[in-house]
Amino acid sequence: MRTGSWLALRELGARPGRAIQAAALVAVAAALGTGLELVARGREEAANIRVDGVGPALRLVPTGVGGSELARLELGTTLLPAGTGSQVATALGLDLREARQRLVLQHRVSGRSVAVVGVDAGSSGGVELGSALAGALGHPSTLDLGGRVWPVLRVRDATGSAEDAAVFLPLQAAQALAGLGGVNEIQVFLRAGSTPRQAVATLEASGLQARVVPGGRGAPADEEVQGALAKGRRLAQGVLALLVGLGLAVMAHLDAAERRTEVATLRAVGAGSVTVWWALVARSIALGLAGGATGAMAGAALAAVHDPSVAPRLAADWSVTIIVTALCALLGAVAAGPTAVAMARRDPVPWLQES
Amino acid sequence: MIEVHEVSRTFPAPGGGVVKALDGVSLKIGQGEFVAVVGASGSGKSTLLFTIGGLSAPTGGRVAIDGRAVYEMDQGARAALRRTSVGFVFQTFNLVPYLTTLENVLLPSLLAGRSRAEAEAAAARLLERLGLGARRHHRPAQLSVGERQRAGIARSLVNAPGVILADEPTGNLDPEAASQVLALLRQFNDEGQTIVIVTHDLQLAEQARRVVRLRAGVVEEDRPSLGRRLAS
Repeated sequence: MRTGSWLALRELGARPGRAIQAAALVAVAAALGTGLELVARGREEAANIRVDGVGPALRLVPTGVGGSELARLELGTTLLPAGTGSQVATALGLDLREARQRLVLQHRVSGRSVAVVGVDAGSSGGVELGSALAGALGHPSTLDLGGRVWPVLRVRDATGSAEDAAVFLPLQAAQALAGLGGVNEIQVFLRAGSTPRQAVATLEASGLQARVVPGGRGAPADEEVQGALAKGRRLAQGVLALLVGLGLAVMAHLDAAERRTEVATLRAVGAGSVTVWWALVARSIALGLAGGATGAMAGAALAAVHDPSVAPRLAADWSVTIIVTALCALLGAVAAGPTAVAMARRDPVPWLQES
Repeated sequence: MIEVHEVSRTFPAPGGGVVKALDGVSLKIGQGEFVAVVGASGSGKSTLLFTIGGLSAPTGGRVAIDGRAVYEMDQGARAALRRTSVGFVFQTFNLVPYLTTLENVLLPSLLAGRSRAEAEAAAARLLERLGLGARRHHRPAQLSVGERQRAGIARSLVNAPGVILADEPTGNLDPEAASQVLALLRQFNDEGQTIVIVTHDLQLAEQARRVVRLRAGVVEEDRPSLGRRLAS
């Protein structure tokens, strides 16, 4: 392997012409694939923020509770069975982006019955108010709730839903307030490309002891856009990978045809078939690595410059560059593999005699 | 010691049937011999050479080097045999074009698992001896044909194999370069190196110690060379 690697690198260094063409092909495809990925991720994040503002794709509530928006703010003390959250995660698998557990109560606040929502990502040590409730209470800086005075940390943006009239506090505080140990709602946020309808069917088929309620307005349209983007980008990346693979395979084949005498000579001087195979495959892997890394970095830079939805944080995320580079190297190995195997196994004598 | 016993090699003929490249060839070549295999084109000379070297399996018979049956070994063991016990020299030199002269010569040593430093030292010594010390960092394209063949000989010798197999080693050389190469081969033979060359050049063949003539895959003649007879 060591001598094979050395031969591959010496050959690349000494005869850069075709190697540069192959690496350039890989780099262009890697740049397009990376750019597409980052733009899609940027837009997906923006869409997720919009979707999250409107509401989840699905909600799980205890069996027997109504599915209306009003009903979900009056869930009361009926809880979801313990372990429902992990059952949802198992059933949806990669389709699940996030599952938020909540405890929704009715409680008296300043003499009126208000929805109090315990959220598992709630601000510790304070409460948040829905915009309508904050207006009705005259934008207080503290709130008396269950005999405890809570600082008001934030007023949430208006969503046009009944939650504009709710109080939000940490889940544990809500559970202590109600004297309950569980949750009565799980909000399900799906990944791009997964539709609420499919998820409802999956969850209903999984035997959950809960009612699955499709999500709020606006979400399906946003998810449709996301889904199209996700599917389109995977298709485009698949086509790019296929083109890179084919290009590298053709290059490996042409290269091998020109190097028959050299391969036969290597065999004659004692190179085993693994050494010969590796010398040819390592060359293709090196081209994939060089082209993939260059292209991925160029693609990230171009995406950040040309698309405002790609935040610098996203463009500087090395995981995309590393994955694209590794994928290109793998494509290099796969593309050159069959030619290399054929070259390493062929009888070298005809090639020695034709030279 | 090379033993070739009743070796046959057939190839499929283009129009159907088979071509017999070797037909029951038997030879024994002792340690330190210098044998020239001669014959017309298609007589089976090169096939015999590659068969002895473990590159072309016979369809019948047995080949052994130092008592080890070459074609009873697996591919890996045969490759190891070529690294350690056999050195090939080719008519067209077959140097790897993108490696320097030094790298070409040290290549079999690296394949044999020697360290880079050891391999370089052995290759450099040989290049000095063959008058190529100053050309060690040149690529094959920068060498004259005679220098290329000397580099090819150095490569064949770098692992100190028991046998050198040379296929028309002077076929592409001008007379002066050819005589230099021949002198080198004789010099190594004088030091005990076993050498088998294939050639159609009868004058060259007579400078070996033994001449084996093949005709249509059969040993037609096996005799001491004229040079040896004159010397004795």
